[in-house]
Amino acid sequence: MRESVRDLAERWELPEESVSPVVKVTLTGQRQAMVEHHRGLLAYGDALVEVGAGRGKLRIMGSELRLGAMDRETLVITGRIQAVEYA
Amino acid sequence: MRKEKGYGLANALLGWAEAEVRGVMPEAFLNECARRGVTLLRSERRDELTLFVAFPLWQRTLLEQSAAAGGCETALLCRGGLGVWWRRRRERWALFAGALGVAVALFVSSLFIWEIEVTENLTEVSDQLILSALEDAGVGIGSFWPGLSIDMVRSRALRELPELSYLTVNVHGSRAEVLVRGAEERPEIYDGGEKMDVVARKSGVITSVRVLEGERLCREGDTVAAGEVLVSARRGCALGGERLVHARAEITARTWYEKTAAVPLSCRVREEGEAGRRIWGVRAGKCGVFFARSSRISQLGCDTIYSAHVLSKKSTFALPLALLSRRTPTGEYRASEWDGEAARETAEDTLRNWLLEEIGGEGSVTRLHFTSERQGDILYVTLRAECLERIDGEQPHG
Repeated sequence: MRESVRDLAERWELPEESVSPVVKVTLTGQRQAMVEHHRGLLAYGDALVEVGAGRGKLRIMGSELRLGAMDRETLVITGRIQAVEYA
Repeated sequence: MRKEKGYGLANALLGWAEAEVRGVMPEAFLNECARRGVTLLRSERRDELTLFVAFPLWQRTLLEQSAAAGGCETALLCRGGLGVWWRRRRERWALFAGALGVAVALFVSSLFIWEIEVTENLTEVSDQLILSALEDAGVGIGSFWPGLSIDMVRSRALRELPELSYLTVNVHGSRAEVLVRGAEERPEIYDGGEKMDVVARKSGVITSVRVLEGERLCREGDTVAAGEVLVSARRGCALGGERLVHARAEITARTWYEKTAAVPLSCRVREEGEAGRRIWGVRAGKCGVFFARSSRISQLGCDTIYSAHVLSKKSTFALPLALLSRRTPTGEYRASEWDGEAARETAEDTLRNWLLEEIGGEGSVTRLHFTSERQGDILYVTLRAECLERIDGEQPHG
């Protein structure tokens, strides 16, 4: 089902996040990361922030990391971002 | 009020708070906040178990529910904002009510005139006359100035004071500034169609005659009396007959003046005594009261000096309050002699000025002589003068 939804999005050239709730990360330089469609905050610290991302988790690493804003769908991390990875 | 920590103007008005959240998993608290829609203005991880957060004060209950759901405890650190500031000071409501009352009273007071000043008065009309005319026109202490029509005030006041050509009242808060300008003498309007004779304004002996229009009836050396026709409007025509014209002529004559001034040589002078009794009072608006017994009874035959000091700041505002004082100097009157020489000189100056005013700017004094005679306490100074001046005047023919 998920493959068919993805295929459908590709065929109709639709943005994938509009047809299925995948995690979307938007980086603004090295100072801000906006995470949409998250599954909750798993870990929060100065050097590491872990966010639930469906089947896995999203890790944002850096220094002086702060939670700028957060609601059910979106959160914003500010600070010095050095790496973003999926685990 | 605690200094705003940068949480925005809206939170400064609605109120904000800071708290510490302690729990095994503070992340669960954050997720619960997100689920309930709690806005976190700031969040910092202090240590493994502690989270520092700032939030809008009106979401305090939601925050505590989120903490409870996340298995955490909250400890309020501080609060701020306008509502918090007011709650701390609301017991002093009387202070705020008083400040508000003073502000309202000042505003209402500023709608009335409490001080009037005449500035740049270079005319011969005294300030008191001008203020009296303005009061008749509706501008006085306690007048409601928004209801005044300056044009109406001006027309009424100028009707009472023909010596002025212009008058205006500028109101600055509770102060009224009156500006005046004197009237200039109107030039004589010559009407060529009017039938006028040239007559002698004063008696004298004619020294020169220059006729511009009309029939000449006098010659140099003639002695003329005041009112005598010197040049007639009726003149003959070259073709026969007569016609009436507006006679014009420049006639100069020698004139004589004699005038006596009487100067008293003794007078009453008040001796320098104590400053006298001074009593104080207060005037609020138009009503004043002195703080002394029998203050309404004025002592007959005594000098009384009144003064009023309005509470005001120049060019800014004036309050409807004035401090009044009334002083009655002491000291007896005694007779005093005036030096005869000084009296004579004063009288001669006065007579000389009178003569110059009589003959005008174009006339000249050819001879001047003073005599003086003392009779008892009065010194009589007599002026006798011979002058050269124009004596031509006009009057309607017939």
